[in-house]
Amino acid sequence: MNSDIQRIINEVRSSAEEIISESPDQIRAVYVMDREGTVITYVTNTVLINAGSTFFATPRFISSLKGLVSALPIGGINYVLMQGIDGIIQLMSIRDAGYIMIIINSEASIGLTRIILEKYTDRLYDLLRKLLSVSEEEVVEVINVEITPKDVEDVINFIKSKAIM
Amino acid sequence: MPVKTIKIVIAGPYGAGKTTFVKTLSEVLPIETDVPITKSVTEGKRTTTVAFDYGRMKVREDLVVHLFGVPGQERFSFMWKIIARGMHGYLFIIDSSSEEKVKEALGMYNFFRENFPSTPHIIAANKQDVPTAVDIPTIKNILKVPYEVKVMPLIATNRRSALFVLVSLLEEIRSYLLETTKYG
Ligand SMILES: Nc1nc2c(ncn2[C@@H]2O[C@H](COP(=O)(O)OP(=O)(O)O)[C@@H](O)[C@H]2O)c(=O)[nH]1
Ligand SMILES: [Mg+2]
Repeated sequence: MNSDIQRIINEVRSSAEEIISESPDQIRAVYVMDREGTVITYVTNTVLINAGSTFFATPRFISSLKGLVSALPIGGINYVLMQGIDGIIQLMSIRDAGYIMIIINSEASIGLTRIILEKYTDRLYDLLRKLLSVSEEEVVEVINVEITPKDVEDVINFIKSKAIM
Repeated sequence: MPVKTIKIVIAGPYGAGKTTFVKTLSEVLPIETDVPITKSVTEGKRTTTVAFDYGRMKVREDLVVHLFGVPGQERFSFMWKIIARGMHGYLFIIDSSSEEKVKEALGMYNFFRENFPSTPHIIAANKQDVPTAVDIPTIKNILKVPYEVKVMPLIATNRRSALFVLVSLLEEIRSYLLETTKYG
């Protein structure tokens, strides 16, 4: 596996861990996502949350938010606050590179955690840009020639000829 | 003549049977399992060891099939998308030896469905030789599989079973191409 990608993901993870350590009694979980909503890394505060309910991607959520925002006269998403029964979600864009989302305990800490998030956006922005450019490069091979149904049929016949099924 | 590549991804949680599946296939098909060097690997070395399963099968002078097994651990979730980029289809292997194991696959399956909503795929319910194995309707229900997606029983250690699943996936890819391209 591409070691540059691994290294950058590890750095993103360390930043997420640092964010929790800034307010360990308030921040329950940190998710860093790319611009399509794919989770690059998540860190849960095991003192405040059990790690059972994890997820990997929210592309539909991100695209509906984008849809909502584009229908309203407020420009792109840079900050969303959502209140649930057991906690509060803060989602902040890392400029055009992705999103950082945290789950916090109480309303009282919204202001403080928002400042913490802002403090980390520059670093995360640099890491996400790097990750994007490294992952744009081929991992093993770039596929560009169009495949036809006949090609796939040839593969099937080839397999059948090599192995008596 | 440009070489065409059919890219097939073998996905599924850790322990589902991805490595076993590729290994069984390579016992009956001419599959090379060394990974070609990428840009970042030192010169002078033809192949390298990586964290994903890999297989390459030459079908014609101008046609190869690549199999990529994605690492199942969650901490690699971002890698799933990178490895899956440009794939023509994927096989989603699950360990179907118990309902708990099937449930473990839900997060990763949703990831693939959300990130690659229109890519042809098949779910292979592996370890069907285990006496406690979960039946296909229960699996469809747990994973909320759309009705048009096939869930097939698999015993990855069995050659016939592995070949049958691979050919079925290829047939899915073929019908998808027939529906979406001008060829026929
Ligand atoms: N009973 C049974 N065990 C299997 C089968 N396929 C794989 N296994 C076992 O399941 C374990 C995990 O398989 P592996 O291929 O390493 O899973 P991976 O993590 O998805 O690559 C190994 O101990 C295999 O021997 C199968 O069809 N039946
Ligand atoms: Mg494996």
